[in-house]
Parts: sequence; C-alpha cells; structure tokens
Amino acid sequence: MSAQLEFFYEKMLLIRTFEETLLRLFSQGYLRGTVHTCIGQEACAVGIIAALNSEQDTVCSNHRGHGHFLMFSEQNMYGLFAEILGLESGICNGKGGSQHLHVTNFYSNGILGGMVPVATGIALAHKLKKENAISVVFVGDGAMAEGIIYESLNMAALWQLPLLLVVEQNQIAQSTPWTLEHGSIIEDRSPAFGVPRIAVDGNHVESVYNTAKELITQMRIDNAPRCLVLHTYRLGPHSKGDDQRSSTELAMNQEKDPLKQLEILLTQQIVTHIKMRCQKRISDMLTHFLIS
Amino acid sequence: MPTYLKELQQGLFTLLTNDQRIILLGEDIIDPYGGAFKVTAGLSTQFPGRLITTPIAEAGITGVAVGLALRGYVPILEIMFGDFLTLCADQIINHATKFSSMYSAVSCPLIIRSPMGGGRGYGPTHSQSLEKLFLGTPHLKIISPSNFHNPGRTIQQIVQYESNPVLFIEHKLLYSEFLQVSNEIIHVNLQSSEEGYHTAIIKNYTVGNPDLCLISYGGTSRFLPKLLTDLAVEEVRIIAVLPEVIDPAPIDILVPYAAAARRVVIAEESTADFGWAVGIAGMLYEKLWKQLDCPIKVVTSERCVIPTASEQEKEVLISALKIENAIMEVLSWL
Amino acid sequence: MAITISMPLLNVNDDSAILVRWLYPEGAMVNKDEAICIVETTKSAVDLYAEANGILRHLSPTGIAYKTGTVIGFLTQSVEEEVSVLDAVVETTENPTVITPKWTRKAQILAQRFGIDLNLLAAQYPDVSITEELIKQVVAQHQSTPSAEIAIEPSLQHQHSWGITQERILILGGGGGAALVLDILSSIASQTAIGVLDNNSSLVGAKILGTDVLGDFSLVMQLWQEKKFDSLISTVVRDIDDRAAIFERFTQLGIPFANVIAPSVAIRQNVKIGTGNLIVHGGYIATGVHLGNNNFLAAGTYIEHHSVIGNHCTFGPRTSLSGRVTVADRVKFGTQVAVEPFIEIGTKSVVASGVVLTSHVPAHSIVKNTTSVVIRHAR
Ligand SMILES: Cc1ncc(C[n+]2csc(CCOP(=O)(O)OP(=O)(O)O)c2C)c(N)n1
Ligand SMILES: [Mg+2]
Repeated sequence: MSAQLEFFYEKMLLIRTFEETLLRLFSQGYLRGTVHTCIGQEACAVGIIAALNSEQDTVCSNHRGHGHFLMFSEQNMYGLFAEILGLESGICNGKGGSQHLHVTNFYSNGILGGMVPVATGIALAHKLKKENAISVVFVGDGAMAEGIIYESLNMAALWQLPLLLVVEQNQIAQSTPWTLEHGSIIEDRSPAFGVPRIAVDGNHVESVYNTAKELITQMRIDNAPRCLVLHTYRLGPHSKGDDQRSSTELAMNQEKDPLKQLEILLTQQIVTHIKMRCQKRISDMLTHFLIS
Repeated sequence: MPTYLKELQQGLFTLLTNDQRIILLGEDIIDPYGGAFKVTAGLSTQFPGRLITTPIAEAGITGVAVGLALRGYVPILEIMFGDFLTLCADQIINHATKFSSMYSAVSCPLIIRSPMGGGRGYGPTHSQSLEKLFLGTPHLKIISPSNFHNPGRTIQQIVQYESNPVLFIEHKLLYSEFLQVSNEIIHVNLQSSEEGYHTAIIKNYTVGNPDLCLISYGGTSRFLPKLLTDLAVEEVRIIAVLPEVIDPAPIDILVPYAAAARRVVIAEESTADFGWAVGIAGMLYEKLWKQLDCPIKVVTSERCVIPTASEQEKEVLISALKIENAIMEVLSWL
Repeated sequence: MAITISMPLLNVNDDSAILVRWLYPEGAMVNKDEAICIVETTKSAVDLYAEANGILRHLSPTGIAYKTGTVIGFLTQSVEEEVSVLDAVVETTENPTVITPKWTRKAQILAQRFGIDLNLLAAQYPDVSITEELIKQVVAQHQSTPSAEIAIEPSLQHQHSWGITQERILILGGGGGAALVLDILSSIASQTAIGVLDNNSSLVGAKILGTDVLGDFSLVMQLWQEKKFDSLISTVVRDIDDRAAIFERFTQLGIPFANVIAPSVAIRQNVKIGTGNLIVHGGYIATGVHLGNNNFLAAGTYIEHHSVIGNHCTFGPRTSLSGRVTVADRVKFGTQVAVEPFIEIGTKSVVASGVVLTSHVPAHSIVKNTTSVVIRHAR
C-alpha cells in the first residue's frame, strides 16, 4: 500500500518540480509564449493515467497538459522540456510548444473542447478495430460550456464508444469562477445524454486512481462511455503571474494540496528521499540543457 | 455515357471494395435514402458496417472523422451542403490540418466531400461556394473536379496519394452532367501532375495560337461545352484550363497557358473579391509581368445573398453570358 | 429597361462618325446630361450626353466609325442587367439607315486592334462574311509594300481604302512642338503622323520620336499630290505672322489642316472648333466656346465658357481665360496669363507671362507684367 503511495507521491512531485521550474525559467526569460501549469491538480493526472494501459489506451489532453504528458510518458521528459523550450529536439520539433504535444497514444491541443470529438473518433476506431482500448479525454470545467462536447457525448452514447470524459473541475476558467460560467452543475450533464457519471475528490490521488481503475475495468467489458468529474483546485496562476484571486482564498486552499495530503501519510525520511530524487532529476535535466 | 454522379459512386464503390481503411460518414448517407444527393446510394447495402449515418452535428462528426484518421482509418466524410462547412471550420483548421503538421510523424488522411454552388433555387444558405473560406489553409488540399475530369478516379487518387486532409468540392449541378470528352469542335486533354491529378486542357480550335486563356475549376465547367462551341463559330480561339487541385494554387501548371495566350480570364462561382480567381490573377501578374497584353479579368458571382427566386438567382450567379462578356472585354483591349 | 446610346447625326456631310473614346469605364454610374463619350467626324469632335442616370455599358469598340443610328452602348439601371450584341441588332434593324454587319466576333476584335472600319470593309465585300482571315489579308497588304523613296506606306494613298480610318498627318516644323504632336498622336487611335517637315536642312533625315524629318516645306505639295497624307498641323509658334502665313498658303491650295487634341483635354458641350488647332494635354474648353483656326494652346490652357477666340493665336502653358472673353486674331499669350471675364483683346496684341488682365486690351498692344509696381508705401 505504502509502495503505491510512494509511487503516486513521486510522480506528482516530479510534475510539481518540473512545472515550478518552468515558471522560474519563464521569469528568467528562457521560455516564450505561454505555459499552463497543473500545480494543485497533479492527483488528477497521476490517478487517471496510472489506471490506463499506455500501450493500447489513448489520451487526448488540453492546454494544461504537462502533468498528463509526464504521467503518460515520463521517459519523454527531456523531449517535453525541449519542446517547451522551443528546441528542434522537442517531441514536436519545437512546432507545438507547451499546448500541442504528441507521443505514441498521447495527443493534446490548445482549442478548448476541440479534442472531445477527436477522442470520440479515436474511441470509434478502438471499437471498430476491437482493440479493447479506452479513449480518455481531459477537459476543464470552463471548456464544458463548449457545444461540441455535447455533440460528442451524444455520439459516444449513440454508438456506445469506450470514451472516458474526465472533467477537471478546478472551479475556475482563466479568471472566471465556474459559477459565472455555468447555469447548472456539470455532474448533471453527461447523464442526460445517457453517459454515466461519477464525481470524486480530485485532490485525493488514491480516490482518483481507484475510481478510474473501476471505471476502466467496466469499460473494457461494456465498451460504453463514462464521465468522471474530479473536484480539484488550481493552486497556481492560470498561466504565469495572472491570478487575481485573493491570498486568503489561496491560503485557505493550500491544505487541499494533493502533495501535502500524501506527505502526512508517508514518513519524513521517505518524503525527503523522494524530494531529493526529483530535484536531482530536474537539475540533471537543466544541466543537460546547459541551464543553471 | 456516365454522369458525374455515377462516376463518383463508382469511385467510392471501388475504394470500399479494395481498401479496408475506408469508412464513409455523414448525415443521411445510408440506404434507402443514400445521401441528399445520392452519392452514397446503394453503398451501405453492399458494404454493411462501412457507412455510418451520423447525428446532425457537423462540427462533431468532423472531429470524429479526424479521430478515425489519426488511428489508421481513411474516413470520407460527407457534409450534406457545403454551406455547413462553416461549422466544421475549427476541426479542419485547428485540428485536422494541425495534427499532420505540428505533431511529428502523424498523418491525418481525412477526406471531406461536400456539394457547393447555386442554380437549384436552394436559397441563401444552401447555394454558396464556400471553399473560398478555406483557401490558403496550410496543410489542407482543396480538390474540385469539373465534369471534364472523372471524380471517381480523383477520389481514388486522393486515397492513394494523400496523408493529410483534403476538401473535395462537388458542384450540385454537375451530378447530373455527363463527363465531357473531345468532339469535332472541342478537344479535351488531361494533363497529369506528378501527384497524378489532372488538369483539363480544353481547346475549341485545332490550329494556331489561342486568343485567350480561360482559367476556372469545378462547377463552372458546365458552361464550357456550349460557350466554347459558340465562340469557335465566331473564330475566337479559347484554351480553357481547369485544374482539379485548386489549392495549393496550381500556378506552375497555369503559367505556360496564360503566357501563350497573353490574355486571361479567370472564372469562379464564388462571390467577388478576395477569392480563388483574384488570388490566381495576383500570382499570374507576378510571374508574367509585362508578358500579358492586357489586364486579367476575373468573373465571379455577385457579392450578395443568393436569392431563391429563379430570375433573381440567375442575376446573381456567374453565368455563361458573364463569362462570355468578360472574354469579349479582354479581347477588345488593343 | 436599358436605354440605347446611338451614333447621332452630327452634320449633313457625314453619315458616320468615329467613336473616339468613352469618358467613363464600362460599368460606371453616370448622371443624366453628363458627357459619356466623344465622337468625331472629319470636322469636329463632340460629346454625347447621357439621356438618363444609369450604368454605362460599352458595346462598340472605340476608334471605329459607325453609321448614324448605330447603337454603340447602353445605359442600364443595374449592374446585373445583361445586354448583348443581339439586343442591339434587334433594336436597330427597325432603323433603315443601319446596315447589320456580317462579320465574326474575332474579325470585329481584330478590326478594332488594327484600326479597320468594318462597315467600310463590309461594303467592299458585300456578299461575304468577314473573317479573321480576310482582316489579316487586309493588314498584310497594307504592311507589305515598302516605299523606296520616302518612308511612308504608299498603300495608304487613298483615304479609307481598306477601310483604314486613321487620319494621316504631316507635321510642319521640327522643333519641340513636333515632339508634342507626336507624343499626343501616340495616344490617339484615329490619327497618325506620317512625317515631319522643317526648313532647317540640318534636321532633314533625323528622327523625332521615331518619325522621320522628310524634308523642307516645299515637299508639302508633292506629298499632297502623291496622296501621302490627309492633313497638316503646324507647330510653328515663334513668329505669329509666319504661323498665319503658312496656314493661309496651304489652305488656299486646298490642303486641309487637322485638329490635334490631346486625349486629356476636356472639350465640353456646344464648343465650336475650326481646323489646324493644336491643343496640348490638360486643356479645358468650356461649354459654348468658339475656337477659330490654327491656334496653339499649350498645356493646361483653360478657356472658360462662351469665350470666343479668333485665328492664329498662341497660348503659353496654364493661361486661363475667364468666361465670355473675346480674343481677336494673332494674339500671343505668355505663360500663366490670367484674363478676367468679359475682357476683349484686340488683334496682334502680346500679353507677357504672368499678367493678370483686368481691362480691355486695344489692338496692337503689348501688356507687360505689373507685379513690380509699388501699390502702397509703408511708413
Ligand atoms: C476555444 C477556446 N476558447 C478560449 C481559449 C482561451 N483559454 C485557454 S484556457 C482557458 C480557460 C479554460 O478553463 P478550463 O476549461 O476550466 O480549464 P483550466 O484552465 O481551468 O484547466 C481559456 C478561456 C482557448 N484556448 N480555446
Ligand atoms: Mg477550470
């Protein structure tokens, strides 16, 4: 049990350290364009993707996709970093940058909601090829206002496709709280289309993982779509330095930090050990790229 | 003699027979209806499971087709009326064409077929030629065979040759037209590109140099048999050049013909200003500066809604007379 | 319904006139009573006016003579209104003076390019349909017979033979004025220069803008008898009496003078123009003006409405006459003279550059610049 917790903790911490480094490099002028970090939401990425089989299942991600990517393909961390740095050695030759990532079964794009029909098509391909594979797509709560998602839910239900729609309900979209974006709760949406939904605490990595595992097991049997709503909280800025939320609000939510929740459960020694390992991996990476 | 529609059906039939990657998607495409313009008639019966009739969700089904294309299929998506392509724009521009270009080693062999054009009284939202909106989109190919081409051959060529998205534009009025071949007056030659696409070269004379080069594509070909025959009687020698690949601009194919004739008219059914014809004219000016005898004349439909009422629709749309007038205007330059 | 624009009867001697040029492009919006095109007979050029507001549609190519009554264009009410040659034929067959021409459209286009009058050609070949082939023969014939003695095409000896309507002009005087004329003629389809004559023997054999100086003025008679030109234009301006004498001598011998008028000159309604006038670019001849013979109007000369100009006058660049000014014969204006309305200027007067004329000028006067006159002493 503890081995699994350590595993989750290390994955989440690697993502956190990687992204904090990105923010630092951004302010130092090493990066251009934009980055959206998933600081505070690492449990979503880790819990879901740990439940997948990356050999056969596919993931479509969004603008906030570094965590999804690292969890899906940690061995490509340098390629991701190079891509974000804008180097030709990046996984997309520097063309994609932070929001447009692809390796093997992983695809991300910067158009909100736009990947949902694509993931639906991928699910259709899985089904037609009888691959017993799952197509996962991540969206934010803000993107859930995009109409094309509902066209996709209809088709996924109609054709009974193995599509898992994961909504990271971090309660905000760029600067707008979700209460100013939606007239009804997101949980009610997919059931109206005939797509069963489960909602869990997205900051609790074990819950996320266990729920995802269970859903995916079901889906491999019935090949039918599901929706998973993860309640989480964006602890970082939308991209970089663009956060108007009050410090009180942010402070009140610090305790929800999925990393802190795990640190309590692990021994001090293990935590320190894992921290050192992650730091070393990141500093090795920076050395590799000749960044101090 | 085969019609445009028959040839297209035949092309799809051959593809479904020979290539298991082919999937046809679209609204109302299965039997007994067989598609709003009957292009897929009979196919769902002959190829069970290979045609998927979809909900009315143009953006969504385009995305679904993109997903299929990313995962090893060659989806051929029918958008019932070209006017609805506006709904597909995001999936075409920000998804399909991007995946094949911004990711490394990804292909997205998606074909979107759609009928465009007016002349059947379908009114403002079902008669436009909106391929214009997609011109110049990186990594998108736009192909529009005329009835001097064989659309069934073309669609097979696309499947064989392309790994990136293609917009395949049909003209509603061409479906019932017979494919054109040479006769005593009109001489049709198909010039093949390296990629195997055809440019139809149509002459209404046998000896001498052309007086004028008429460049066009797609549905405007319906005017040409009669127009070129009439002008042959008037001794006006026209070489009409109709590429089927309209974007990327087939400029290298067009330049020698325009240069030989020294006078050029470019016809396009879409609205005036900022269209294909204007774009081609701009490129020809660049390549043939001072080699032309007079300015290039562009003929299009009017820049306004396309009315339903027959007489009004006729006034707005490009016509044989408008093309003829443009030809005469260009020839009357000293 | 489209309103037709047809060739008017301009004077009793001419039953056809040349459509010189359209004043507005195809498809332009024109207002009622606005001048829309210039037509020209052997005597004068006049404007045709729009009968109604509408969109101008050209039907007939310019540079070609059309019989009185021939439909040369339309005024339509909308851009989409489609008119074709056929409509024109239907409308005009009721008019007995119109011959329905028989030629292919290609022949029509070529005729326009080579300046051939199809009506005349059709009259010459009454029973055949005129084709590209025939036009090419005609053109080949008139190009293939080079002249041994002087470089003028002898096949053009008879005016209008082969239907060529270009007026062949012989230029008198080889100075700067000849270049002006040649430059103007280069943009006029209906006139062409066949050579220049100058009494300065050192100029003979030279070329001015590609045109040969053939010899001195004594050649005029010989060339006229050989029918090598149709009319003269004089560019002699230094000595007004000399200019007048040249004009009078040759007109007495029955040799006509041409009007050479740059295309950019605006000649308005009810203008009367004699012969031998040379009007350079940018001029403006307002409505009701009467211009005599053998005048030279340099660039930008403005003659306001109802002014009357005699004969053999020369105007320096940018000279402006206000309305109802009367100028007698042989008056010489410098550069940028300004003349107030109703002023009368007597014969053989000279008005120096920059003068502002505010009172009548008696005959034989010399008016000098007054700008250095002190108006008032400042204390
Ligand atoms: C179609 C589209 N509209 C707007 C944007 C700009 N944009 C990028 S992220 C974002 C907020 C997204 O909020 P949400 O979906 O809740 O995801 P989160 O950022 O909270 O993870 C917006 C408006 C976009 N990228 N795409
Ligand atoms: Mg959000």
